[in-house]
Amino acid sequence: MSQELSPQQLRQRMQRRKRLDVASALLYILPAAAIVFTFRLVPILAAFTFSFFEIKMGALVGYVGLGHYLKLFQDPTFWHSLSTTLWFVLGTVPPAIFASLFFAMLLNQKIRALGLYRMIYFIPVVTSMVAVAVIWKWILEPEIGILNYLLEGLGAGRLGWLSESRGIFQMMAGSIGINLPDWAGGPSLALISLALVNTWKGLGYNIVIFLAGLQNIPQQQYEAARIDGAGSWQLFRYVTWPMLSPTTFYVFIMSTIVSFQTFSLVYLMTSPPGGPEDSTKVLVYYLFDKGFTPPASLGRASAVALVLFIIILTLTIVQRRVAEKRVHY
Amino acid sequence: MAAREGMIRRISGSTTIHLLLIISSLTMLMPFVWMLATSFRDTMEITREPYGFVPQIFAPGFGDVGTPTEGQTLSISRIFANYIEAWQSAPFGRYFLNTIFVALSCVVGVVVTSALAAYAFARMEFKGRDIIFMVFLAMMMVPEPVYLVPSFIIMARLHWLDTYYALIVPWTVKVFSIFLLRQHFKTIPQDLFDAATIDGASRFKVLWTIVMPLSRAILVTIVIFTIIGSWNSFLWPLVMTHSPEMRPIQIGLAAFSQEEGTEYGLMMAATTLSVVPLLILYFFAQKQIISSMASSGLKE
Amino acid sequence: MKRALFLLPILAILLGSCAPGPSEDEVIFWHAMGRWEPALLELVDEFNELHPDMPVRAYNMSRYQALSQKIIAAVAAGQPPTISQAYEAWTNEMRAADIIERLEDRARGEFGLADGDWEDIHQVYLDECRDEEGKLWSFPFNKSVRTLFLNRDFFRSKGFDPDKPPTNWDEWRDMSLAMTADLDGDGRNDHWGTTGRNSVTIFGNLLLQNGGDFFSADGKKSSIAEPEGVEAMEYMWEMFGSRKMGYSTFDYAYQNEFKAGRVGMMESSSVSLSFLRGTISFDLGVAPLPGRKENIALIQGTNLVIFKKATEKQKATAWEFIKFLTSTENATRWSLASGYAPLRKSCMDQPSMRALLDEVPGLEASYEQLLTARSEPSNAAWFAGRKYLEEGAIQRVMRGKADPGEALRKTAKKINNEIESEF
Repeated sequence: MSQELSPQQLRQRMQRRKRLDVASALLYILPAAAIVFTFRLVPILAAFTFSFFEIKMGALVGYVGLGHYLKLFQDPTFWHSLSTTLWFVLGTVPPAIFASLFFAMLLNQKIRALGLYRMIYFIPVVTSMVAVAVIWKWILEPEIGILNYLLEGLGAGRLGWLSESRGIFQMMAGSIGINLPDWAGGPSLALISLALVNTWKGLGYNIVIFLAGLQNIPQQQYEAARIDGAGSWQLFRYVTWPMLSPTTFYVFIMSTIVSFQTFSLVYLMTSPPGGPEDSTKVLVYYLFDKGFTPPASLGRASAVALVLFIIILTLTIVQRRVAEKRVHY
Repeated sequence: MAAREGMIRRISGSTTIHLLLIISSLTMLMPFVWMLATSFRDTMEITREPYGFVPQIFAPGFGDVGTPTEGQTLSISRIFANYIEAWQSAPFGRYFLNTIFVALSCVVGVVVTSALAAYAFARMEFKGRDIIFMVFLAMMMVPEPVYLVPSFIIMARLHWLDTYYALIVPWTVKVFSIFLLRQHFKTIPQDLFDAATIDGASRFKVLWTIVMPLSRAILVTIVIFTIIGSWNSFLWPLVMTHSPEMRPIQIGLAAFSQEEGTEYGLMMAATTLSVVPLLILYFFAQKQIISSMASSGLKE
Repeated sequence: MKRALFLLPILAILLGSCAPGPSEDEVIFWHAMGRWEPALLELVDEFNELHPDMPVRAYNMSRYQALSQKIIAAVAAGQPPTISQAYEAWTNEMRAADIIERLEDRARGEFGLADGDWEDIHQVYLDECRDEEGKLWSFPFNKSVRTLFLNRDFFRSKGFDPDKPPTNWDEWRDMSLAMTADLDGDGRNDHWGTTGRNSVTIFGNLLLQNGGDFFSADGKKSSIAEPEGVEAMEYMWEMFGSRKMGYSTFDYAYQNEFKAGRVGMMESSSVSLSFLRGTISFDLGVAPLPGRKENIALIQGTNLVIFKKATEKQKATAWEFIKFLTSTENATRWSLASGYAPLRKSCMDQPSMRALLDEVPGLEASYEQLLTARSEPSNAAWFAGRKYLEEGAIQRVMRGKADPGEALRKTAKKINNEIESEF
């Protein structure tokens, strides 16, 4: 074989091939990368740049350095919206996980009309937030809403729902005659109403993901456990739950990220926007308010954006670290 | 004997399950039933009696002497009065066309960009791959209001404001779709690629002739969710467009929900109109979505 | 610091201070007149027939919130419209950001207003559009005045004469109390005297009627917590918050029960007339707000501003358009079509307006409030303070969570800080 390549030639060819590989790989990601770069990364970096300037009603006023950040941390409304956001996340993520897991397990059996049920749970997912807001505002209306009418029919009292700024702990304690101070009141009923609507809207999506996860669990695992005499709780505790942990973790991370970013729900559903006494003013709404309600300061809004981004990023990383230790693959 | 007991247990168990499912799905549906019921009632009727799942036009005794509807006659146009009025109060036909066009364009874009990028991320080795992918993922963590104004400025520079470009181009990439496809591509055995490459097929050909058909289910999911996302987007088109010829359905819908003087019947009719097409779509695609979620391997 | 400064030119390019403006051969008019768009477009079309060389194109943003978002984004991109509706709070900020024109110069210039116009347009409107030096920055367009709506049938059924609505606070309270009733004995009232919206506006009306004011005479101190203000807030609580004679909501839901015929009176903006007609089946009347020491009602609504960025020809045409919209004839047509209050005194003599005034009992008296009406202050301290008042005082007092006097004193303190930080 006279055409045998010398080691040097071989190396050259390999290198050329590798360079070609890199070039073609870059070509593959180019369309996506170009768009992400132009329409996400650049705008986002621009927004972060804004945070060092005073920009009022869209017009540049001047450089303020870290001024926006300093003012931000001194603004009690900021801290209030941060805690509102945390309550909202707490009020949506765990209930969403447990409710959807519960229904997914109910649906993960050979029962009749399965498709119909799945369809019904999924309807809110495909419905737009605009439509959801329209429907639920009408239902939750305190004076003529159907929910209060039904509650009254059941002998329970009417509630203020979206216009109720009192904390739910305060309301519960109040109903048994205990007076809780405002700071221990917990999230407002208005916020909890939003969390309920949000859970309702997202339930079907999470159910489908859990269903997928459940169907991925090999039947032999259950059979083996049954032979060992496991009851249904034990089956859940020692087979379903650990085998499902990647799915649960996925749902957990995604719904945390999404609920930290909640905006349109608040924007479309609460009036005054931000809820009674600002009790539904989550961080993204606070950001929006700072940037778009006159005196609109885009700089201040961008400072909030950066802080929010750091919070979400940190949380995601922490969640990943924890999960690496805990999640069973 | 034991078998019979088991059967009874199973039957009563499945009855409980059905009961739970029926109650909960009714709860899930209640808002929509209420929406539908309200959409068939006129404003006078709603202000007079806000509660009532049965619109007066469907109630027995419609048009009878002594009722508020005395002398009225029932006709198709009377039944769908709110729908007709809602449809005519804004260029809804145009809104629908816009929405459908934008959604379909986004679908094409998303499928192409995601498939290419996911393929590179999943099956190719190159420097900076993981970093680029991380940057992509980080984009998912930034809420829309943050980049709204800078995006508007970019659109203005490109002279894209109030055009389809502004509604389509930025949304032809969905990081989440790339993520899903990447997960899926990783599960395809290497042998398949090797075999194809030995046959002399180029990478590109392998992607379109082998990998993509294998990913049908997940592609359906991506298509559906892209359509849902595009169909339901609100803030972006609100800011990026201003003439009625460019506006999508959600903006038309939001216009019904005025602060003062909301006409619930009209609003619910318009809402119903906006929701139904997606429900039909979902109805036909739901099997694919669920099986693809199962096969996408949402595990690392 | 230095490194950041080098960002400034990049930012300037990005922010479009040196970018070319939008189209220069038409006047771009942004508005939020969702439901009245057809009426507005009719006027625009007529104007365009008169000015074919520079037509006005009207874009409907359908809501004020969307309109302000669009303005901010467009200014940032260097492509503002030529002319837009704006609340005074926006005008104030836009003036500070140097993006709108001072209209005084046009109004007093060669193509300015006629001498009679300055007298004919309600003074309260013009005053709202003026800065501290009395110069016009915006021009009144869709304005309304707070008023009382009456269900005349309800009045009769409760034994009251609908032609004798309450004229002062005491009558208002007594009448409302007498109309309120729990018909089925379930502990919830089914009939109400008065409903309204918990807002700075209601409080502002009561404050001014009681002889109080928003700021001290020198403008350096908030005077909402003076005894007149505290009394006003206590009265507001009694009328609406205590739910003994009326109730209020934080959104527009208060109108629902009124429309359903279970409420005697409704405090609202005069523009609500157009929302009510056609959705109710009872005999509707209007009345001026009851007064106390004085009879004062606040005006509301937006004005028109012209952006600096446009070309001189665009701006000149925009000004012509403003004059066109606000002529006696067109202002009357607009008022009749939309339900907004008449812009000029002379509108009241137009035959078409007379027909409406004769049709709706009390409407003429309600519109005559404009002769003594006031507007909210238009300084930055008030726009910040207004929010404090709404969130810190009104919302808390009306929910029974705070004492009127204490809440107002806290709010006044915050507003005073705001004033100090400004000087």
